[in-house]
Amino acid sequence: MKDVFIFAIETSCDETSASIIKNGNVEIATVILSQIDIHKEYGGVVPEIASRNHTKAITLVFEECLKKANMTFDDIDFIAVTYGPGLNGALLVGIEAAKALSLATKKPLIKVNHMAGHIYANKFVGTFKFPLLALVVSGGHTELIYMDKEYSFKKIGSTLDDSIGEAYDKVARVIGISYPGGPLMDKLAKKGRHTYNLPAPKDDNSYDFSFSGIKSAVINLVHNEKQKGNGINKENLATSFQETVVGILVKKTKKAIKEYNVKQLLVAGGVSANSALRDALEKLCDELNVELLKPDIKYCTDNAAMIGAAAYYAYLNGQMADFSLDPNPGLDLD
Amino acid sequence: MKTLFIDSSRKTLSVALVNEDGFVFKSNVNTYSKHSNFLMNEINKGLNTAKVNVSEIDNFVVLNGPGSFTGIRVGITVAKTLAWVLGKKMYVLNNLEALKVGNQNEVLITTIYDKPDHSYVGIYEGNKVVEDYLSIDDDKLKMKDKNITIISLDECDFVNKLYDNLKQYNNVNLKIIDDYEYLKVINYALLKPSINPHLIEPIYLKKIDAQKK
Repeated sequence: MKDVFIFAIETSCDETSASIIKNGNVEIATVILSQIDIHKEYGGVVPEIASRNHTKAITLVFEECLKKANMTFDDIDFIAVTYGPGLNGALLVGIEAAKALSLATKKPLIKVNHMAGHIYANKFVGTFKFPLLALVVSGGHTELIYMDKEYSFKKIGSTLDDSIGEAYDKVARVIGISYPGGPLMDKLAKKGRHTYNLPAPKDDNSYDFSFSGIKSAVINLVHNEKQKGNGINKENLATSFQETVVGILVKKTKKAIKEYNVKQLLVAGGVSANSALRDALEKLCDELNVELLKPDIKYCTDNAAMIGAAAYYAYLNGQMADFSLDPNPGLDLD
Repeated sequence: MKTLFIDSSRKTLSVALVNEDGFVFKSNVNTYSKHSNFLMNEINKGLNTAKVNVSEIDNFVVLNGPGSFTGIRVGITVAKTLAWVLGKKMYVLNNLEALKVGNQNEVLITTIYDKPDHSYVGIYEGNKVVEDYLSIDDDKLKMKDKNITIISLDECDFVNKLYDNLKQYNNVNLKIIDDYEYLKVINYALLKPSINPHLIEPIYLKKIDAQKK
């Protein structure tokens, strides 16, 4: 069979990225331009600023990617782009550029769901064995997804309020850690002990999650201690928070693995870089004798490589787009 | 010589292809600000109807704002991507300067409406150029004993106030136009130096709330 080369584009939040992927699992070249230092100043991603920077950088990122791969568009079979979920104005830049590339190069356009991209980042580390369960944890999502074949997603549980990534960022801010709080909280938690008693979030039989309660509990705890004139042990609070939220993720994932009798667990999304979560899931999969796929740390955050991997299967699934393609900021996986 | 023109800074999206004889095609669509639904379709439709291959386009001309932030980004992103990937020349002109094309007077003032007391303003007096987001009371809009032409696309509160203020001490002519004079605007833009597509970005002029803080 002829090799399929996909030129993939990702601009759903604050990373401008392009990648060339062969056959859905071989990375030829990837370029990621992160705006993290720009948004740090504002304590979070400012959508308008993200869109402005995508517009500024987009063709440079494309050129750099082709140069890195030592390829031209003559070597490419398809253009792929993230069309949701994400920030409307940010998605728009990638989509318009993708449509223009498709017109100019006469290559068909594939539309890709950003969250499918996160799941398919695991294609770079192993083969999918169905049925499988994917735990998707990021700044915008906390979901348990069941898949019985390629590019087919059934959501069995999700957060009812904040995502886990949001909870990490907000708690980080309260205890005085700069944006993005997740990775720094993870580091801090390694140095502490679990001494603070925090409520286990939505500790029930459902597959849904809730992280706004524990977030409020941390905020109240910090305020109360402050009023009493007591300091907070940041390391210990980070440890307590992390152990509590990882605990509930693992507990519900374990229940789903058993009930759905899956062969594999995939973890995906920005928070899948979290070391405590990775360790806990490894332990869980050992215990249940289920294979665990976790993406390389470099593919945990937003990147176009994962979009190129997902695009191959999206194409086999008929997910083609025309020049009317528009962002879908609230796009769901199922 | 074929030139593709795009203006997506307003509610009406304008796309045109011109050659030495004038328009090959021209479309003006009210997209209700959903330019992304329309722009690539309009370009594709126009090229197909005119039986022109996209690779036959020699130049790209795009108006780069000020105006709708999202709208301009749609036009700029498409134009710069096409010009870059096809290796063609790209020219930009801002919307305030485009409005003055074809007019002559001692002072030309062009406006693009934003709010009753704040709008985008271009002031052209000889070699002196001001292009900014100005309050109606801004000192730059206080003039005396000049011959002035105000050019605007809408008859709005801002323009009416500006006209009333200036006519007290100046000889003022107010010109409300329906649309840009596209052929003149395109030819004017083509006289400017071409710009590397990578370097092209919208001009916004107005700060967003996060930047003000």
